Amino acid sequence: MSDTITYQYNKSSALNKSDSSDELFLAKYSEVQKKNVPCFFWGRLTDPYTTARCLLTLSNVVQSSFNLSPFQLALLKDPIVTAGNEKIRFEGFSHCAGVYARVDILGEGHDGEFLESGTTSVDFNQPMLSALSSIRKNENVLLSIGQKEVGLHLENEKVIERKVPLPVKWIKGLTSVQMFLSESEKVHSFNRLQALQLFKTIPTGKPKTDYYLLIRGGKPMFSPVKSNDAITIGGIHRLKLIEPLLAIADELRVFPHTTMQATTWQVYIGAVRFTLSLSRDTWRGFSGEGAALESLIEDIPDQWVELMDNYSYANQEFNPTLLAVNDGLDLQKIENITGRLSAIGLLGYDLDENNFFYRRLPFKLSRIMSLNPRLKDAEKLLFEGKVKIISRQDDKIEAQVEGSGVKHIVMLNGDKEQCTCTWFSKNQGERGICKHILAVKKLIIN
Amino acid sequence: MTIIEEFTGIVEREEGATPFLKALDNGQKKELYPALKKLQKYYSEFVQQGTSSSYSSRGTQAQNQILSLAAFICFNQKDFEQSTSYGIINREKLTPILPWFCPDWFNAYVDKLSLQEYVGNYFDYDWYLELVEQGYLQLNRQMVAKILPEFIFPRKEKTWKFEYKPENLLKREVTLKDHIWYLFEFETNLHGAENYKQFEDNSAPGRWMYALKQYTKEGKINRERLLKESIFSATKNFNQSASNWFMDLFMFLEPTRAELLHFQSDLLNTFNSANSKPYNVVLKLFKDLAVEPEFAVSSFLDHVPLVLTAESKTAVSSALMILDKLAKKYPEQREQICIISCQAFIHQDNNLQLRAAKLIQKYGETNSELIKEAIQAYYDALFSEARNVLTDFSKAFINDEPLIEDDLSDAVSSIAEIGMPETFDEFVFLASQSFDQNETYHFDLLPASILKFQNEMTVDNILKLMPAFQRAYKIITSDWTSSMGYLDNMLAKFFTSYGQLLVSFNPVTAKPIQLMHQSFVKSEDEKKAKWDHYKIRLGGIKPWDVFTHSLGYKPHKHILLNAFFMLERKISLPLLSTPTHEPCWVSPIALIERLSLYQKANVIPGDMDFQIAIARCHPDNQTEAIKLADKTLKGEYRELMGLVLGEDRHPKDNSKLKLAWLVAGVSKSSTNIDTQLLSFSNLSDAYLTGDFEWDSLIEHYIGKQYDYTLRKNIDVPSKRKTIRIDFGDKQKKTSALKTALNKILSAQKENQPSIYDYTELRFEYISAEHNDIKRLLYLMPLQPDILIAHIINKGFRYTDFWSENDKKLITYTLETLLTLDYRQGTMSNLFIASCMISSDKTIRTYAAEVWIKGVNETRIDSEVIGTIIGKHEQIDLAPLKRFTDLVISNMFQISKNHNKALERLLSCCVEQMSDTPINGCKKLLEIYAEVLFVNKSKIINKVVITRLNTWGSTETLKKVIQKIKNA
Repeated sequence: MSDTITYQYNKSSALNKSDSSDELFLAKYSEVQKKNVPCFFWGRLTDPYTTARCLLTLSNVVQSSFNLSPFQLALLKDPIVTAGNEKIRFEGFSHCAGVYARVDILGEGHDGEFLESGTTSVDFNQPMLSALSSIRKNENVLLSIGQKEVGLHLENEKVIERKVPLPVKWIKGLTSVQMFLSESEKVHSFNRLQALQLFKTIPTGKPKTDYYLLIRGGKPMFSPVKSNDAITIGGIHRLKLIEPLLAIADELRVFPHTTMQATTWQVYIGAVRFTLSLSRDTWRGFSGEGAALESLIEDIPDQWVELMDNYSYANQEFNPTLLAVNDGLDLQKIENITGRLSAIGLLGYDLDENNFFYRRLPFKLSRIMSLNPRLKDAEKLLFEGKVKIISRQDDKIEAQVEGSGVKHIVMLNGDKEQCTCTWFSKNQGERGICKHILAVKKLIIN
Repeated sequence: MTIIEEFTGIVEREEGATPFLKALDNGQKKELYPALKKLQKYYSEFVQQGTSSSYSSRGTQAQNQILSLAAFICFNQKDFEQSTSYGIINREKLTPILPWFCPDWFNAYVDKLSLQEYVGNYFDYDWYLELVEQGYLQLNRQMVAKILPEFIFPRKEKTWKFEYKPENLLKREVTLKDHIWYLFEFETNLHGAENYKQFEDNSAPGRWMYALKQYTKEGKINRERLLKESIFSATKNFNQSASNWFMDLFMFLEPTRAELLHFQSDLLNTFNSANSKPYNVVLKLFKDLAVEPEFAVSSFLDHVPLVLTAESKTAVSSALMILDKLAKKYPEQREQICIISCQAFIHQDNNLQLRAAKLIQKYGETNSELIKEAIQAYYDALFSEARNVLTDFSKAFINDEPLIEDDLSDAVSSIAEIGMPETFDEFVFLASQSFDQNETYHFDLLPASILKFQNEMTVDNILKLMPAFQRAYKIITSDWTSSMGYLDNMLAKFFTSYGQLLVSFNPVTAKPIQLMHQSFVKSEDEKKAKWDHYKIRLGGIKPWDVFTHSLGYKPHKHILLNAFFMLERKISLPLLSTPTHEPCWVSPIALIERLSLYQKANVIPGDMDFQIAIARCHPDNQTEAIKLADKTLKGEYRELMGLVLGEDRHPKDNSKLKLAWLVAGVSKSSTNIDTQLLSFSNLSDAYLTGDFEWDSLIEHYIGKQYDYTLRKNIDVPSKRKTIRIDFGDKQKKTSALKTALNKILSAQKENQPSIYDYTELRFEYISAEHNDIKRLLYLMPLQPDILIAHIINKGFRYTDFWSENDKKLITYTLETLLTLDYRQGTMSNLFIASCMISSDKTIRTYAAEVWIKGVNETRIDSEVIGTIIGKHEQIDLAPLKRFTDLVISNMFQISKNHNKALERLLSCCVEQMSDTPINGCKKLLEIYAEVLFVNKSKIINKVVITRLNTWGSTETLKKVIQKIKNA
């Protein structure tokens, strides 16, 4: 399941101290960047302390793991950054792919030039992070994503290579979490005090049971007891990752997923916004949830990827109509277009603006598309001729799919999908559809 | 002789293999490859040694070594890693080999090893560096960091004890110059390297610290860098012991005042640490440094909110102390300091709040709008004492009614109807998920649906059910999973038994079932043939039993047998007890309709089915139900339903439905059960009402303890605190005369066992009962006290829980209670109160929720709960802090009603406690004072006043008791 990615950085990221101002230099690397883009952004951070705190929290997220063995923790996976449209967004995932984090530095948070727009991995190394924690308020800090002065870079300078086993699930998580975000709605907004009080009710240790966010006596609190309108959070100890930010937060907003399959917590600190999304449970990564599966039933033509690349720039709001005008391909008419594009890593989702934005993951498409075990299994079932449609009336379809030793019944009736297999019986569709349903759907579409 | 034969011979004869291996060329190595794999597998297999019962690998040590060596020489990295050859990575074994052979993957393999937590059995620092120096390996910093900690602790060969040799660090110049710093880069066992070692010399613990300090003194290590790296490492997300060790190292180096000031911005970093120790140490240092002119005040103020909101109370109070000093010294910063200090109000701790409040009172300007604003934000969370101190600031915004009342009514889930499968397809999807306990009532729905669709078992339909049959067989034959209960196994056996019934009805239609059955029988037989002790797991529902032979599972089994009986006879009648509403209720309307079907068919309902149906009957829609009963039911059925629906009805002497009457009487929401009904059971009264005697006590027992001098376990008198329930005699005591009479009047039938005879929880150690407890409780949802008595008896045997499953037993019980509206009796009160002082926070929170719901619905007696907690605390059964923390975080300020109930609870608790105050009493009284303040009440209970007077002689309680009295 694991693949190795080799980050190739020209230089290590570092916080370079000087008398007048510090410079936070972030080295970047992308597997797919076509043009040689030296620098995405160069300019001043208006609130360097907050930005530093948020980046440190992000680094804690990417270094954390809630279900892997400790030694794997040592392997830091670098976050990705998207610069463009007056926004800088850092994104990362925990190793277990169950916690997603994003730092958005919005318009007011920076004062500089976007020399290019795009998405790239950036080097996060321990010395740079240690240096980050020394940034204080009212300091003057420049941020540079990539090297502005190309001349400084010598031809024979040693490239810093870091081989990291990058589980495909990490990348898959980055794609499927966007779908969870787009299906989430704001339910609560808390001020700093309420947020701190709320976090005080997080139990110690690693509770195995679900917790629920509810309001008691006008105060928000977490309780293991389910009540009607409460928000469900599994693996609540993961929330502690953002606790250090609350002491400086202006606001905390909570966005549960419509069917409580994820929760998203946004911390607002001036012009910087920190987003943390938790999967349904510690042992369930976003990657394995199968949210993106349905979007991948049909193949995505290369033409779309090209089209998106040609007419969109990073962080631009995704607008299918506009693309149609430019290239004659009317994406609007294609069903579930945003789902399908985000499934291949072309779109991110902004909860506050309530829209998808363009950002192309800096990984080869083959990585993103490779290994979707359930999809592969479904394809295998079809290839081996194990799927048989028994009856089809309007939108009611009954099919038989050969399993091991038995024939499973798949029933599609409007929005209702059912299968007799163990996966479906256990999860009742909560964690995406099973390979049998997937195979039947693929068969009827093609 | 081929190479393979030659090598096999060498292994067999345990000859030296080196000359043979050395002579192999690449082609020959390739040839040997597959054979080597087979040989390794063969020799590493665990086999019984002769006739003894011990097992070990087939190969001798020498044989395994030959194979490992061959693997090192012939295999690629992947195969070497998968083989059992790691013992070869050893100085003694590789030294003669490496000069003539080093695999090209050796370096990559070692790099990979460096990621492992423990690498000590592969390399020591000396040998590793030799390999690097000789060019076999490239230096890996992480590997160096992992093996260096052991380098100063060589082991004596003769005694196997360790020596302390810090001078080893001087052997190579590079060690102190470069390698030492890798220890600060990677998480290693540096902090625990000397633990669990027996030292031959008399060196004192803290050996690494001494070594580092010594060489720093001698100028061999850069002191400034060492200090800086120690601080960094303390905040680097290393594990807690490692971080703390680095902080200790920093202090051990005795930084001077100048050094501390030099590093102050780095020290501030520790405020971001996840552990409390680093910042606690730093705050202690800062208390002293704050008065220095070089102290970076603004940086400190930037960072201090991080510690003001930290878990550690010591940190908060130290931070406030420093803020106090700074406010005194820098008048221009006072406003900001006051605003920052408000963040300490987040703690629900009277002392901390008071300290912060006093600081604000001392330095804040009462007309500062910013300070007022800051205080206002926190005002609701303030205790009365802090409020009093801040009166001058709060006048402007004070509010008499700060409490927002919640609409708690919607917290109670409305009763949702349970959908019975309408079509065969719906039944198919129900059947395939019934063994997953997605819903507790699937247990009931499956037999009910089979009865409903028993006449539709065509060839096609049976095929659709095959996945469910496969699932059932797998559940029965595979190993137990953590979420499975015995009831799941029971249900699966019921389903496969039904499959066999179908086969007996029509072998042709049900052929797929028979084939599947045979394949599972075969695989079970194979397992039996392989393992002597294997017990065949397949079996039918009729002989089903749990290994503890607990009677508690009988009611469920009876329901399934009842359904099976009807299926055998092809009777198409519904079960009476199948729930119609979530989670387990049977609506009276449905029960009447079902009964009328039995009446029409002239079939008598199954005894247990009938009892459970009545126990689950939710008495709502009474008028409508009575009308329907009048219309459709006759005779005793009508009479009995009358009692269920609240009418005053009584059974006739010759009643055929005595047990059903008994259950109807017991389930009624009153403890006074009609004596006529009581006579239908041989059980003593407590076994019907759940009104058992109980006690929390210190129990003396004989424990076992290992005696190291005698080298055996010896008996030691011990004591433990526990809750005991006195179950008394299960059967009623009957007089000799009555027994004699009964003998004479043998025509009079004995009482049959009822569901109450079958209520028990029997196990020595919990295994899977917790996964069944919900379904067991749902047998008697209106009167769960009897089962709860058993749950307390088993679950609270050890107040701090024996295992995770014991905890689950309690949590699931609480979860179930929250879904029911049951009669709160002695046992459920004892249960809730005991949960409130449980060691598990989840359980405590649940108990608080049950109390909140109970107060809301005026069903819980807070005074009784308080009395029980007080009684428990008489013997200090559990730390009182658990309860006081729970009150603060979950039970206080819920609503006016709840505050009143809480006051009664606390008052009864104090009333019941002993005259000698225990730990935590102060906090309890502080809360009590706070509740009295909020409720604007005074104590009237005389016993409480006397108790407070007695406690008043304790110094620490004086102040708070005075406060209560003055309320």
